[in-house]
Amino acid sequence: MALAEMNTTLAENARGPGAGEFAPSRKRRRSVFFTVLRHSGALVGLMVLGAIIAMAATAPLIRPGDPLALAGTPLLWPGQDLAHPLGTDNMGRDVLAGIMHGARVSLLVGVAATALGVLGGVSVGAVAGYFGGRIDNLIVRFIEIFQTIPGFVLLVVLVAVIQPSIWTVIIGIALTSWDTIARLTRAEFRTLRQQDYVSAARSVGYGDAHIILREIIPNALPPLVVTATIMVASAILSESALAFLGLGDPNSVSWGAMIGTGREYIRTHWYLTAIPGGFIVATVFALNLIGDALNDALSPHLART
Amino acid sequence: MTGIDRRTFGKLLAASTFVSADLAVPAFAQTKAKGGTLRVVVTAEQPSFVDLFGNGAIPAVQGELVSIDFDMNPQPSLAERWDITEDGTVYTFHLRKGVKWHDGRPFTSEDVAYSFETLRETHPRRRNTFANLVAVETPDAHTLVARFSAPAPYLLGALSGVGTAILPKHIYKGTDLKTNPNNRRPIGTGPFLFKEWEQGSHYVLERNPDYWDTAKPRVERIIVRVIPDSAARAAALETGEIDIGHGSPIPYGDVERFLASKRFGVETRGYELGGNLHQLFFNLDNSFLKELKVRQAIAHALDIDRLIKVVWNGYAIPSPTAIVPDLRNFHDSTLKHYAYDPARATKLLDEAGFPRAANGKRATLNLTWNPGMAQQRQAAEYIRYALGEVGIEVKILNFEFSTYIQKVYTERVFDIDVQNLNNGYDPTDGIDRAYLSSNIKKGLPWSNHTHYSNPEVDALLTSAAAERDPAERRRKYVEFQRIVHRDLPAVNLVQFQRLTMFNNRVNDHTPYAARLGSDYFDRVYLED
Repeated sequence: MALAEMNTTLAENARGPGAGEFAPSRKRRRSVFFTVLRHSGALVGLMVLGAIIAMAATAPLIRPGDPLALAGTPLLWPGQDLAHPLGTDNMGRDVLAGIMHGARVSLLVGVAATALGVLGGVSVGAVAGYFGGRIDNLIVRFIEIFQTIPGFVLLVVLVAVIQPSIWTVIIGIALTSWDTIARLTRAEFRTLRQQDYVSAARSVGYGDAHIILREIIPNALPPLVVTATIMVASAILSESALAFLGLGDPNSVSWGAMIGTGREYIRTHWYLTAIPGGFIVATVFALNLIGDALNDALSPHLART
Repeated sequence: MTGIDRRTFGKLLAASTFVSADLAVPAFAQTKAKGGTLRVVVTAEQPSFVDLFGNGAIPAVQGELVSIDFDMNPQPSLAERWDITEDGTVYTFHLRKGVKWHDGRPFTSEDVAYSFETLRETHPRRRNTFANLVAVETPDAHTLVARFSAPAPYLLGALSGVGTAILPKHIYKGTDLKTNPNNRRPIGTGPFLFKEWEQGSHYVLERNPDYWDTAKPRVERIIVRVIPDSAARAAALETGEIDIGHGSPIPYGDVERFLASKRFGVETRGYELGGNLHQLFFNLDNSFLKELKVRQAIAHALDIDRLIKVVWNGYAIPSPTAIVPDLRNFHDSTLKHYAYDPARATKLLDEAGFPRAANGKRATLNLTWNPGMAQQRQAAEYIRYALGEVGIEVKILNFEFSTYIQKVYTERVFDIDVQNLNNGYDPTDGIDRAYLSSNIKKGLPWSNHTHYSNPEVDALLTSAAAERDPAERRRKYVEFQRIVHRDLPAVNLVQFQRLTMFNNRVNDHTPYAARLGSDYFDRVYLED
């Protein structure tokens, strides 16, 4: 009993000044937020992303029903008929409905695939980096297998063989993107596990799980957050590319699929590719701006200057 | 080596580009100048050029025994004339004399006999055509007698260049058919010599100076380019990089724009042998679709006119029956589509015992579509929408081609399969495989995957295949059409139109015969 209590005290001391974990990081987090906001690019990025999130959220209210429904006369130009402000495609589907519901798909795929990828990557990378030795060796070899296969080709094969649906696309993208996070996490862990506060935590008897989850991961977060932001952007791009190739979920609308079907009409009805294309560019660009700003804010060198 | 490098090829292309912007329609051209290079585009590359295994042919190189005209009647080509005995079992062909293979050897009846006997073993469709062939005799070098155990009224239709490859016996005899180098660099008796093949890019045909019809061919050279992407094909045609493309080379949505420019023309003839049919098949083992009323409701839920408009851009005509209008000797024009009537569909579904659930749905069906043709995808999207309107939720499953075959014909994951199982040149070619109960064969592509089994239909199709009397043969196929129209194992949608798009400088490209776009090019000439 007494020993256990003493351990807690020791551990709390170990988090004290010098060991640098929760207290300093909380203060820094607030400053990160303001640094990001001061970054003019990030402000634009946040605004664009906010608008797209708002669009996705209000889609069922503004454009209720199935966005794939053949709602009107085919090939209406934007503005030609106010019932379809952005026009209709070759089958008479409303472009605005496609854009708004497509935003839901893009964001869902982006966030879910990244979440899965980060979860998998961090778990694998943490184990490798923390334990080192033979496990590390094995895991690194395993990661290398994924790194040597061209990601998009693997993705196309995966989705084509399994039947394409939103969830296979998400899992496919996660499978082709987790390795970056795993490598990064492993590198962070290899550095951080040498830190004094880790030794201190270990010396007072905390288990590996506690040390990994409570001590090291919070400190390894900054680079992971930056990478994850970019991963969301690239997941959205991958989903669009897949859908463009006709490998997306055929039962849900997607910006990439809209470009894919609009492509045949590019000479006569360019807006069918330009509108969804513009939204993909805007979303990916916004995420990249935010990623850049986070990187600037979280990077110790730049933060000090 | 006769190979030309990329730069020379480019020069050739440049040298043969004489497209003048203000080209008038040359309807009454006075000069039918010989020479020039015709540049053709195809959508996919053939794996080989001799149609031994159903892999596609080049009639222009190979030559053909008979030509099939637009009215589906056989006309002389390598066979100058033919006699058929009263009972319809013995065909005697009198072959053209003095015809030479491209390597200089004489063409004889031995070659034809060898071709029939070989294709009976190797070719997926000729296996049926020659199934009853009991003997082939060659009394002399220019006479061939083919004896059948039952009447073969469908025979002549199968003997065109796209149906039956006439093989040079001296090249193939005693060799491995699959690996014979002639498959990749064929010789034939046709108007063009096969010059070279740059795999993945193009192949080149050159005028055969020893062609039996000395007035033909008119162009000096043909370059056939492979461009898999439809937008790229449209661009190549538009910039004058290619002259002509068969089998709907450009998106249907682009056709109007091409015609409006006055530089291009569209030809719809030449595809009569295809019997192009777009239909949807039901999985009759599905407990929901087992109900006739449900299938009737689905038929009533589909607006064929709208389908023609949004999916086919108008390049299709309704085909309410299993045998398309193009097969005019057999098509039953009295049958009409189930009228587009969503209210009636709703009523039928209610009556069948499938009311809408709280979420508005009655059932959920898996829909597959044949990825071999781009329009199937749009058709699938239309059907998903149309059935959704009457409360049937449709989940589209996308598969790439080989997975599709596996999933649909082996695993049968479909409830509705959107398909284009074409009729071919004769009902025996395309109908039997899908409707005979003996063709319920797990894993066999294009077989009876609905599991439709009706002894009456089996008997009709079997007897019609061997029926000699044309009127009686028609009667049996009409009867068959009425039965399947009533039983509804499939909803037949449209006969779609394949298009040939050409630059107006190309003339006489589709002169008289149906070759499914694999043209003979013997009459074609260029106007500059």
